[in-house]
Amino acid sequence: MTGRGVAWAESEWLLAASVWTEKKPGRGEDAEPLFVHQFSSGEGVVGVFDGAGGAGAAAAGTSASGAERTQAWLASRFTRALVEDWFVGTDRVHEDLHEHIATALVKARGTARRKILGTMRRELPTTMAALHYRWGDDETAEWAALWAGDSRAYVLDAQDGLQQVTRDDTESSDALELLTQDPPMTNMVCADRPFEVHIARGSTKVPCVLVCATDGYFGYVTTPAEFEDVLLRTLERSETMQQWGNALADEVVGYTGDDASLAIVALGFTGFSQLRHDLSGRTAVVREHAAQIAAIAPGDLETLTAVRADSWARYREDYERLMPVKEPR
Amino acid sequence: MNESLKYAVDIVMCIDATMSMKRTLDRVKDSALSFHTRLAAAMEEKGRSISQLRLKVIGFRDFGDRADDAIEQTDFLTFPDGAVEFERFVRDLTARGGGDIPESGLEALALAVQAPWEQGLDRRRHVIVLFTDAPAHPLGSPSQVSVRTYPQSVPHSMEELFSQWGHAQSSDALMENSAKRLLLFAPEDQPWEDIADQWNHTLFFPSEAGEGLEEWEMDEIINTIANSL
Repeated sequence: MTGRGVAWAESEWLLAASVWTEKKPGRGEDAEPLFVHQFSSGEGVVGVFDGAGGAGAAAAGTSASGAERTQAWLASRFTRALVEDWFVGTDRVHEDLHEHIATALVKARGTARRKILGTMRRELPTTMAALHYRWGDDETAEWAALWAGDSRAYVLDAQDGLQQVTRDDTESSDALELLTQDPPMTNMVCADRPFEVHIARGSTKVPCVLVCATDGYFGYVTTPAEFEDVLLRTLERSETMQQWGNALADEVVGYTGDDASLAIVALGFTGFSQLRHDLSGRTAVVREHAAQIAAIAPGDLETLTAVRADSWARYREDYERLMPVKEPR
Repeated sequence: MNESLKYAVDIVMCIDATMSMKRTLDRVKDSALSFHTRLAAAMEEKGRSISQLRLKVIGFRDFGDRADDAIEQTDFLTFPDGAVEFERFVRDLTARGGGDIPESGLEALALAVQAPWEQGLDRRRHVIVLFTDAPAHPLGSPSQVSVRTYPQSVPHSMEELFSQWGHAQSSDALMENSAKRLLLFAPEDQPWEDIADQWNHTLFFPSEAGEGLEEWEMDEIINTIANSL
């Protein structure tokens, strides 16, 4: 196990990269990101899966190589495989994905009585954030965000920047509050109690970029705008998708406190140069947010709090433009 | 990148110090004394550094049996300066009294819920750890509330205590939903079973005050608390 993996693809009108890093090599609870594209239909699915290390800290067994695996480790990989299976082997009905996952997880669930009980425990717990997309004509790409937990999916475009198209399963959906408070999840994929796979559909003008990320990427920055800055400044210094993927891996291990995984699909660009050129207009916007944070003296929490709030107030409207409304309980 | 996002960790240890605990109290003390070190290590391993660590101890017995020392407690002790007092207090807890089988564990839990938890700083963890080998007297029991030393702030019903613990949508809870965790080392008896089943953010190791707990199980518990939910 290397603790790091980068994969990429460059094809006509389609660019993709996935990045996966572990905090502790061999122990990472994020699954390797999922990316499958079917050229014949113009459809694809991209997703990330973060095994919930708190709720799923219990042992799940030992691998063939002798490595001990937690329930969280197993859940993220298993759910990734189930989403891939849903895309490849079914009619891709969004409403069926929950049943597809839940049925398989219940079958996989162990029957041994747990010695440690309580409401914090889950069996095979993981987040998922996936985008099923279809690019059927030249103008727009249709997408459906499918998620449970606090991993996120985004649309990134030159006009409005990074826009979250999922809503975290936490009491608050305020991205700054989520950064500062680290609240518990109210829903996640698991085998021992009901869960929900949310669905939000939309369409975006092509060319566009679709992004899925676990909280290792966006949960350890100072302001929500800083995650977009990470994406764009690594893009700016790259020449290919491979380089961008590697730059994203290099960047995240420098600041995250967690396993981190991210997947990017760019639709409708003539090549990497156009992708970089088209998004370059956003770079200055988010760089200004990052520069204000960087200028704060270390330890000056009062100024940090004020600047952070100001940054979020200015960034929030575009960032939440495509965020689904909270579903009634 | 985000230097401000450190964790303020408060831990309240509720320890049954009645005579029936005599056999296991030394082991419980060892667990209590090492808990914060293990939690800090697990959090550091996950990249969650601790900006402030405070511990508070509540030793409890039975108001109906020992009015004068049914509760013995410290204030929150800030580490590392408070480490010596913390250890001295825990080491000095002596198993005595208790009378009938149920003890005043719910009163100790209520006092823990009402503790002056850290409200500032960025990310917080508020952890209550309770060790007991017995069920608890129901809140509001005449044999308890009539005792002159009985704390006036303790709720008179489980419903009231639950509302102080709170749930995800609570507006009047005393505990902060994002931060709170409750770890019970207690027998499969009431009220512990119901609390573990119905209150959010609980971990329950059914046992006599944690007896039989393996090292790897303690690691699992610590990891569950150290990680986000």
